[in-house]
Order: sequence, then C-alpha cells, then structure tokens
Amino acid sequence: MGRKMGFVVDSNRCIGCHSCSMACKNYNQLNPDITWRTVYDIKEDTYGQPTRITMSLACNHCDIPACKEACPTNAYEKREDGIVIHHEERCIGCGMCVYACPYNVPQFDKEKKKVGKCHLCYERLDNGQSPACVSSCPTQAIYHIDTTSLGDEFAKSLPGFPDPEITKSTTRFIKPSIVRKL
Amino acid sequence: MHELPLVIFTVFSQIAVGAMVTLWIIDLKGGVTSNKIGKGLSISIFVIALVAILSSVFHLGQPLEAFRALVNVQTSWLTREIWLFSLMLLTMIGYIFTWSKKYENKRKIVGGVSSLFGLIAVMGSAMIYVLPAMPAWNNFSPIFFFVMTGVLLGPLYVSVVLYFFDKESMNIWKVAPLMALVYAMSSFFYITVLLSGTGTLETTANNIMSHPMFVYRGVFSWIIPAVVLLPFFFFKVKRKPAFMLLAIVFTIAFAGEIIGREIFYNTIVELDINQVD
Amino acid sequence: MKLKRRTFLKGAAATGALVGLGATQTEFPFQGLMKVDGSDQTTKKVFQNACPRNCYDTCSMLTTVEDGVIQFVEGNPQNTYTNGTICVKGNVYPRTVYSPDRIKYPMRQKGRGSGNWERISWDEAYTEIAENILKIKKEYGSTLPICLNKYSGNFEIMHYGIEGTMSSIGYTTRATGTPCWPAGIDAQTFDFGTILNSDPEKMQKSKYIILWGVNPAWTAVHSMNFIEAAKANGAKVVVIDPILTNTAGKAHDFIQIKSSTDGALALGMAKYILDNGLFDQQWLEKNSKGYREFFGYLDNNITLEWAAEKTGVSVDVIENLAREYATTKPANIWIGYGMQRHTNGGQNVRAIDALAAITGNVGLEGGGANYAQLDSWGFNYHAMIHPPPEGSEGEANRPVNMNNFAADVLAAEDPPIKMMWIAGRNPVQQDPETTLIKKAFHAMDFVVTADLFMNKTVELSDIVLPVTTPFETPGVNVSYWHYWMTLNEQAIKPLHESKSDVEIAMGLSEKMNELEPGSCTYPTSGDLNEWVGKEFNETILEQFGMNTWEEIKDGPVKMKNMEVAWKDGKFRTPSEKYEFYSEEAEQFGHHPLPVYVEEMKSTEDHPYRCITPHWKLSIHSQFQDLDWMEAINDKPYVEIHPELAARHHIKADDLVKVYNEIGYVTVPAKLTRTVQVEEVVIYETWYKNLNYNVNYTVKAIPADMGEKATGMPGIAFHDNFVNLEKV
Ligand SMILES: Nc1nc2c(c(=O)[nH]1)N[C@H]1C(S)=C(S)[C@@H](COP(=O)(O)OP(=O)(O)OC[C@H]3O[C@@H](n4cnc5c(=O)[nH]c(N)nc54)[C@H](O)[C@@H]3O)O[C@H]1N2
Ligand SMILES: Nc1nc2c(c(=O)[nH]1)N[C@H]1C(S)=C(S)[C@@H](COP(=O)(O)OP(=O)(O)OC[C@H]3O[C@@H](n4cnc5c(=O)[nH]c(N)nc54)[C@H](O)[C@@H]3O)O[C@H]1N2
Ligand code: SF4
Ligand code: SF4
Ligand code: SF4
Ligand code: SF4
Ligand code: SF4
Ligand SMILES: [Mo]
Repeated sequence: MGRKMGFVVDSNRCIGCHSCSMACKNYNQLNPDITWRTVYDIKEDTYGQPTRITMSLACNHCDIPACKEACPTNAYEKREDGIVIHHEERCIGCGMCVYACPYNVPQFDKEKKKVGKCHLCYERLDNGQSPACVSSCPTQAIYHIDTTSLGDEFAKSLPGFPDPEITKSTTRFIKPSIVRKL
Repeated sequence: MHELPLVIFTVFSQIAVGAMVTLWIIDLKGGVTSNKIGKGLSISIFVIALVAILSSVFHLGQPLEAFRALVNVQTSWLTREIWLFSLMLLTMIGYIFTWSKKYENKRKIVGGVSSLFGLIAVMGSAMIYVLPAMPAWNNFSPIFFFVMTGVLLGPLYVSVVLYFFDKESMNIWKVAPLMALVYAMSSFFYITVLLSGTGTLETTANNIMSHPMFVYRGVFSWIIPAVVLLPFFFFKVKRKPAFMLLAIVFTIAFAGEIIGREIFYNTIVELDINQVD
Repeated sequence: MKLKRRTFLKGAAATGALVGLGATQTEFPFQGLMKVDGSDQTTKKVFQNACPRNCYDTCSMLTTVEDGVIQFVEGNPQNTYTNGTICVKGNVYPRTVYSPDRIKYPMRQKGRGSGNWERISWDEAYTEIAENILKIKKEYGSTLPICLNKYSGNFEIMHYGIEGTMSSIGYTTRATGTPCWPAGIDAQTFDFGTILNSDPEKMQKSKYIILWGVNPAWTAVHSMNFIEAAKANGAKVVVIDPILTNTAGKAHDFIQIKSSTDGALALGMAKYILDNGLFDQQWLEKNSKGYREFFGYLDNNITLEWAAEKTGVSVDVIENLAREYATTKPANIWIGYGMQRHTNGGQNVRAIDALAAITGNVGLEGGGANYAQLDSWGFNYHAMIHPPPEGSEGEANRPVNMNNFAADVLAAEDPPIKMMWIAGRNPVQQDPETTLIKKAFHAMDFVVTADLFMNKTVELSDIVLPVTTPFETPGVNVSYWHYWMTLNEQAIKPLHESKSDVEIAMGLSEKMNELEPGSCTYPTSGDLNEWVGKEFNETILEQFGMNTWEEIKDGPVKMKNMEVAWKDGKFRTPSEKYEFYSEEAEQFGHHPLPVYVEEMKSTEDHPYRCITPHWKLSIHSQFQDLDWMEAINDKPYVEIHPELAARHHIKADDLVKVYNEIGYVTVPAKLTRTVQVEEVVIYETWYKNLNYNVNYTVKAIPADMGEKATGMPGIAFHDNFVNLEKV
C-alpha cells in the first residue's frame, strides 16, 4: 500500500491558541476571510464534566476525496504520497467541491473567484521542511505523518467531527484527557 | 450561499425537459396538428434550455473558463450534467430540423432520444446534490423534486402554448393539478422525515419551514394549480379552462418553483464540525 | 500556485490599497502545474526580529523578505523558549504591516472626535506640535502642563525614547505606575526584595505545578510547552482560577476559586502544612525572617473551615492540595497577573509566596513562586535619558497616577494639564472609567497621539503621527519572564510615511530648535542601528556572556545563571532574608505579615462580579482589529453560567446589557458551565468595527499594592460588580 500523508491532531496537547491557523494564513498569504486551518472548540460537555478543549483541523487528505470526485475540471490531484492538492489554475470556481466535502474544507475566495484549500504544504515537505502550521504549533499538537504507520491508539474521529468513513479521512486524533474539577 | 444562476438554470432546464418530453409524447399520439406550432414550440423549448445553460455559466467564479468543466466524466456529476444537456441541445437541433422538414418518423425517434437525454440530464443535475456532506439531500429527494418541477411546469407550458394557438386537443393541462397534489404530499412527507431526524436534518427542516417565502412556495406551486384546475375534473365542467386562466396558473406555479429552488439552496445545512450529534 | 500567493502583499505594498488582490491567471488552458517563471527569481533574505508587545513570551522571530516585501514571519528556533514558534498574534504580523487600515501619514483632526481628518506633512505636524509646546512653556513658565502617557504598546528598549522626547523639552507631567502587575511586584518586593523568577524553561523539571490565576494557554503560549514537558515527565498540574480556562483544560486538577480569595486558600494550605509538620524548618531557619510570627498568625487566626468558606473550595480539597504541594518536590507555583488585580491582590500574592517559602521550594530547580523578572533589563536607556534644556523651570517631572489617569489629569492644578502626548498607549480602550477618560481628553487644548491604527484614543486626538512596526525600525528586546535577548533588525523600509518614535523625537527636536534654539536637547540625527549599540554596557554584556554587542547579530542570547531564582539565598530585602515579616510592607501601610485582607463583595444593585481578563486573539487593543484576526473571531461575548442566564431569561446569543453605576457594555451571551454562577466574564480587547469596550463599566479602584516599586498602586480590574439585563 502507498503512503498516506495526513495529520495527527493531538487534542490532548492542543491548547486552542490558533497559532496553526494563523501560521497557515501567514505562510500562504491568504485573503482576509479565508482560513485553511481552523481551531474548533469541542463542545464543553462532550465528556461530561464541562471543560475547554479544542481540535485543529485542515484538509483531511482523504483516501476517497469527495472534493476530487465532484470537481468537473480535475482541479484536484491525489498525489502518490496521499496529499490531495488543489490546482488553482484549473479551478473555475463552480463550488461543487465546497458542497461535496463533508468537512467544510475547500473555501471559495471571493477575491480570486476560485476555491482553495490546505495542500499539506507539499512544497515544504518536498523541501524537507514541516508544514507551516505544524512548525508553528507551540505544543507540537499537530503533525504530519504517513498515517499508514499509525496504530489503533489513534482515533479516526473525535466528537463533533463528521463521519470519517464518508471519504476515508486520513486525519488521526489523540483524545483529550479531561481535567478533574475539584 | 446565494445561488440565483443555479436557481434559474435548474428551473429553466427542468421546464425545458418537461416540455420536451410532453411535446414528444403528444406528438406520438398525434396531438400536434400543425408543423408550424410543433416547430415553434420546439424552438421555444430549445431557447429555454439555452437560457438555462447560459445562466449556469454565471454561477462560476470564472465564467470564461466554463469549458474546463468538461473533463471529469469519470466521477463528476457536474461534468456529466453538462454533457447530457449538451447532447439534449444537439439532438434538439435535429428535432427542430425534423419539424421544419416534416420528417415525421425521424421526428419521433429524434424527439425520443432528445427527451431521454433531457430526462437523464435532469437526474444528473440532481445527482450533484446527492452528497453525504448534505444529509438532507443525500437521498432520493433532489432527483424527485427536480423531476417534479419538470412534470408540473412542462405540460402546463406546452398546454399554454398550444392554447395560445388554439390547438390544444389533448388536455395535457390536466397533468398539472394532479402533479401538484403529488408534489404537495411528497413535500409534506419529506419535511416530516427530516424533522424526525436529528442534527443537520432537523435544522434543515426548520430552516425550510421558517423561510419567509415558504408559504408562498406552497401556495404557488401546490395549492393554486390544484385548487384552480381540479374543479374542471370534478364538476364535469364541459368548458376547458380559459387560456388566460392556464397562463396565470403557469406563471404562478413557475414563480413558486423559482422560490422553491431558492429555498432549496438557502436552507440546506451541511455536515459541520460540532454539528454532528 | 506557489508563485501566485506571493503577489498579494506586493500589490498591497506597492499601492497601499487592497486593489490587485489575487493575481490574474492567464496561463494556457488545461495545463498542469505551473512552471517556475521569472517572478520566482527574487532576492530573498531572512531578518531577525523580536515581538515587542507586552507579553511574557517576547518571541525571537525570523522574517523572510522578498523584493523588500515581508512574505513570512516565523519563530526563531535559536531561542529555546520561543522554540521556533510564534503565537496567533505573531503570525498575523504580515497583515499588521500591510494592513490597509494603517495610519499612513500625519493627520490633523478638525474638531476632536469629529472624524474630520486631513492629511498634513511631517513638517506641518512638527511645526504645530512645537508651537504648541513653546506656547505652553511661555504661558505657564514650564512644560509641566504637558502630560505624557506611554505604556506597553511596544516594550523594545529604544522605545523608551518616547519618555526621552518629553525629558528633552523640560520637566513634564508623567502618567506614572502600571495598570498591569504592580500589586504582585510590591508583594514579591516585600518578600524577596524584588521580582525574580526562575528560567521558565526549567518548569519542565517540576514535579508539581500550580498555575495560580494565570492563563498561559492564551497569554504565554510558549510556556505551555514546558508545562506539557513536565506532564510528560510525570508532573502533576493544578490550575486555580475562577474560570475553567483553556489552561485549566490542560491540567489534571482544576480548583474553581471565588475571585479574590486566593490568600485564604494559600493560608489554609499553609495552616495544614504547619499542623502536619510538612514545612522545611532548615530552610526557614537559614533563609527567612519572621516565620515564627507567620506561624503564630496561622495558629491563631486560620482554620481550614474558614478557608473553605471564603474560597468555596472544600476542606478536603485544600488538605489534599496542601499535602501534595508540600510533599512533591520540586513544586512550582506560577503566580499570574490576573489574580493580583484585586483590592487584596498584593496581600494574596504574599500568602502564596509564603507557601513556596515554608515548603523550601524557593531556590530549588523546578520550584519557586514565579511571577516575573526585570534583571535582564540593565540597558543604558540611551534613547531615553536626556537632560532638560538649560534654564528649564522646575526640579522634576510631576507624576499623575496612570491608574486613575482621567481623574488626576482633570484635577491637576498649578499648572493644569493642557496638552497630552500619547504613544504606545491606548487609554480610551485600556483604562478604567472610559467615560471619564474621554472627558479628560476633551478638556485638553492639544492632544498628539503616535500610533499605528485609528483606535479610540487616536479618535480623540488633534494630531496623529504614524509610527513604524517592529519590522521597519531597529531595536533590541528582552522579556519580563524568560531570559533571552533578541536583536530586532530593520527588515523592510518603513511603509507610507511612518517613522519610529525615536525618529519622531529627532524631527521634533529639530523643529523646536529651529523655532527656539536650545528648546530641546534630543539629538536631531543619528543612525538607529548604532543607537542599538549604545544601549549596551559592560554589565549587560557580561550577564549575557557577550564580548561585544554585535554578537547579538548572530542570534538571540540568553542571560547566564538564571535557571533558578534565589539559589544563592541572597535576598534583596533589607534583612537579605526572605521576609515573612516585612517592615517595609508596614511602612507602606500594610500588615507586616501576609495576613488575609477581606475581598470586595458584591452589592444588592450589582450582585455579580464581572471579570475582564485578557483575550486570546489580542494583546489588549492590538491585533484583534486586523481582518485576518476577524476571520477567526469578529465579535465579543459575555460568558454566563446557564443558571444565571436562566435567572435573567437570557438564552444563548441574546444581547445582554452588562451595567453598573458608571456605564455599560452590550454583548451577546455565551452560555458556559466553565464560569461560576455568580461571576460573568467579558474579555477586554478592541474590534475596529464595533463600539465595544469593557472598561465603560470598570472603576478605577486601586489594588492594595504597587506604590513601592512602581510609584502607584495597581488597579483592581476584577473587583467590578455589575447587573445584567436582556436587551
Ligand atoms: N493573548 C494575550 N496574551 C497576553 C496579553 C493579552 O492581552 N492577550 N496581555 C499580556 C499582559 S500585559 C499581561 S499583564 C499578561 C497577563 O497574563 P495572565 O495573568 O495570564 O492573564 P489574565 O487574563 O490577566 O488573568 C489570568 C487569569 O486570572 C484569573 N483571575 C482573575 N481574578 C482571579 C482571582 O482572584 N484568583 C485567581 N486565582 N485567578 C483570578 C482570570 O480568570 C484569568 O483566567 O498577559 C500578557 N499576554
Ligand atoms: N478591563 C481590563 N482592562 C485592562 C486589563 C484587564 O485585565 N482588564 N489589563 C491591563 C493591562 S495588564 C495592561 S498591560 C494594559 C495595556 O494597555 P496599553 O499599554 O494601552 O496596551 P496596548 O493596547 O497593547 O497598546 C497601546 C497602543 O500602543 C500602540 N503601539 C504599538 N506599537 C507602538 C509603537 O511602536 N509606537 C507607538 N507610539 N505606539 C505603538 C498600539 O497600536 C496601541 O494602540 O491594559 C490594561 N487594561
Ligand atoms: S497551534 Fe497547536 S496548540 Fe495551538 S491551536 Fe493549533 S494545534 Fe492547538
Ligand atoms: S477533507 Fe474535503 S477537501 Fe480534503 S481531501 Fe477530504 S474531501 Fe477533499
Ligand atoms: S470550485 Fe474549482 S476545485 Fe472546486 S469543484 Fe469547482 S472547479 Fe473543482
Ligand atoms: S499544511 Fe500548510 S496549507 Fe495545510 S493547513 Fe498547514 S500551513 Fe495550511
Ligand atoms: S504576542 Fe507574545 S507569544 Fe505572540 S509573538 Fe508576540 S511575544 Fe510571542
Ligand atoms: Mo499587562
């Protein structure tokens, strides 16, 4: 089986600081209302005792990418290493991928009149660097990895994350541990 | 998301296909007595379909690059839809030709082919919305409702045109009130099913019902065609409905479908982080 | 794609406008990935920068500049505290620099607050300011009617040139004190002799960490890395806060304390430690003064039941916490600034310090009662120190209380205050009693503000001067938390007509001397890169292990031997011991011992405490106004417990008016069980498109301490009581 590059989201270490999300914008120089990585608050009572916990999500570089299937122009490419790349120059801004992705990932850029999404900073990976978001996380709560190498201790989903089976999301999660309120 | 070009595209293309199929069927049964009218009607249907396609281009961020959308026949329903509508348009050119040349047999064959492409195209454009990402659409409903638009408005349209030229002999307007009833009942059923669901399904249903235009949509597309036209069945009214009456019912139902489609696009709730239960 | 995203900022930089976003695509249809073309062959250079905000972390940054335009700002991995990362605010810097909202040239407002701004030249601006200064001097015989208010917009060392600007025209009135951390500083000064914390990177050596009234997940993100490291090494983490913060979400245990009662908790713990003999007798004998008196106070005055009742924390929990803390070594307490913003805040800090002292955690690697430090700040302040012009009237500057600024400015007499110079400060947004602050501004004859953005303070000024971002002017930075020093290089040319505060001082000096020779002593020229060098002296070079100051150009350097504060046991108190019993405290009107001082209580009309802590997406009034940040969040909220909300028939997202006798804010409700029922929480910050400011309701109530070390007591920001009303 080929490699499947994807993200590990360690919600046990994530402090919800949004560095990753803004680092992506900083590095990719995205237009103001576009965000390719989003930090979500997990609903506070998900694990019973109310708490503040977070997860940071970008494209899940799915095995069966719904975005790619829906795209009439073949603007999406699934690389051999599993990264799903959006080729902006082929995109006609029809928005089908925006409808199709179950995880709200591709975003329509009103300035460019095209869609864009996380490309796992493939050009940085090809250069031996980490993705901008990963290298900006102060607590190493996200990282990229060949997810075929990961065992069962990594969950495929966290509460609030849409069904990963729809598109065979490659994102893997580490569950948050829950603070004990005394 | 504001999707006016898509609203126009889907409703117009569905009217065109509905009308095409109607025309083809009544032609099979010899219901079109004048070639001139047949030709005129098919040209008008062609124009409606063309308007639909042109409008769809304005939905694109890059309208001038629309041609790129032709390349993903393997998996993209949008690509398929464009090809299918293109095939319908192409064969319709032949169809118009057969009307003007009075090739009767060929006309029935070409008309059938064109109708078939049209029907599949409508279903194809509905398939675009059958997505796991959109739970309220991820079922038979887009196909059903898209076809319903054609079935409600297509025959009405053909009927109105034939009336105008005083050539309506088959009473195809009678399809409309029946379909309006089926449409109303199935919509009621659909919303009830959504409401009994959770999360995005329920939210979608609530969005639909609380949409400010929802009432108009119901009255225009379902109640008015049924209430106005059904008496002509039951009370054995010998007279046919007047042309003006049919034209008004068509216009109102058409408005109802435009509103309905706007609601379709504006009330959908996609799977979203933290929305899943 | 790789190229195209680069075009955006260049366009913005070239035109100073938002036109030309997103390059046009004219490549051949159906082509695959784009080839590298000429536009990729640019000059690329990486510069060193430092984030100068009022933030624990003072990050070392690396800035990638292509063709004179910033492309990417990231953390510098040479600094092991920053560790190659910067926070959400640091990552927004490219947008700070190229924001279309930046003030681009000097402007004059016709009618304060009218919004009727006109562009003027720097020469016109200098002339008008100089003439006003000279006029005041002539009319009042001194420059005392001129008042400077500068605080924490930019803590880079050369920015003390702002104070220098004022010194060089004569004796002036100065907003004195700090709204930030003074009560805690005084408390630690009484106890230890000064503030001094261990290198925060050493937190990873702790076995037990108490995060006490501090929210590093938002306010000091890099420290969370060391806390996570400690956890991985088996340490236990406890958070004590009225709010279950994102920091608390990462802890093992969370203790939700009633605000302002931390002293009671600490004393209860101390009592348990005393009763169970868990204290470090040897350390106390050797290093402390007055521990017997302190123990006597515990014996006679403190019970665990009392502590439990005060704090809302049960006796069991207090006992358990005390036992764990006293028996797990090394144990580190991080005392936050949030918890000392109370009328008993300083006293509460003293009680916590005492816990660290009696358990022998002071001077221990991975231990301590860590608050802040200023030991790495021994620069020359060359940009700041300038003599008054010859023949200046008066003897010294006149202080007014920064923490009661409005009232003090309005009350000043002989001479009254007529002109304000505001730089690196946003009083209309950040000070308590906004309504009164506005009144003070309106009472002025002339207000000059130097800033980057059109904020609420600029709106009430007559002249605004556009200043540079850190990327446009050189400097040098240190932190009040870690021990790194970072050079800040000029990475790009100043945008528009912006100038650094020091250049402004030079320009003003030139104009003043032109109009009245000898009226200003500030140098009228100088190479700012050389000026950076002038900030260094032998001592600081030695402390940082440098031979020449230029070595800082090779990357950030860390001060030596700061791993463990007070390791040598040489305290800087009068007795050179840790002082449980402080005569100095007594001199400043406090009890000599860390006794409990009653907290402020709610009233019938204003039954709920309103805490206004710091917001994750801003440093005070900075950053949240930028459109990149608005994409993450564009509206504030008040956090209300569902039970309290129900009491007022408030549902999620309902607009709520939070009010008291001095003002109100109207904000949507966010219902959450992470806050206490009787306390609501609103975060302080500034949104450019909203008329939102929590300080309309905050009174300028002084905290108990701050006068000794900072000249003025702090502000009890969180002793703010309000009522709620659904709008
Ligand atoms: N993102 C961000 N970072 C910042 C800043 C910012 O504005 N935004 N500001 C910087 C500045 S100037 C400062 S001073 C620091 C402040 O840094 P912190 O001290 O970490 O931050 P605060 O938000 O002021 O307060 C911290 C916590 O104190 C709690 N608190 C309030 N009252 C009490 C009490 O009586 N007892 C206890 N135990 N806890 C209490 C609050 O609930 C809050 O969670 O952060 C710096 N870093
Ligand atoms: N309700 C409530 N209010 C609070 C607090 C709270 O907890 N609750 N916290 C308080 C605390 S801890 C603090 S420290 C204060 C902070 O209050 P301030 O020191 O006023 O804080 P900032 O908003 O960071 O910065 C002020 C201004 O400096 C400008 N500036 C930035 N760089 C430069 C520069 O290089 N030159 C010049 N001339 N200007 C520059 C910024 O644009 C900004 O407008 O707020 C206090 N206010
Ligand atoms: S930067 Fe890291 S810790 Fe911060 S929100 Fe992103 S993943 Fe979480
Ligand atoms: S997350 Fe969405 S955009 Fe990313 S690969 Fe999967 S379907 Fe495509
Ligand atoms: S918006 Fe672009 S990428 Fe998305 S489906 Fe349409 S053409 Fe493909
Ligand atoms: S991998 Fe790159 S493109 Fe994807 S979210 Fe991270 S920074 Fe953005
Ligand atoms: S605001 Fe603080 S944490 Fe963020 S970049 Fe600046 S110094 Fe670093
Ligand atoms: Mo502060």
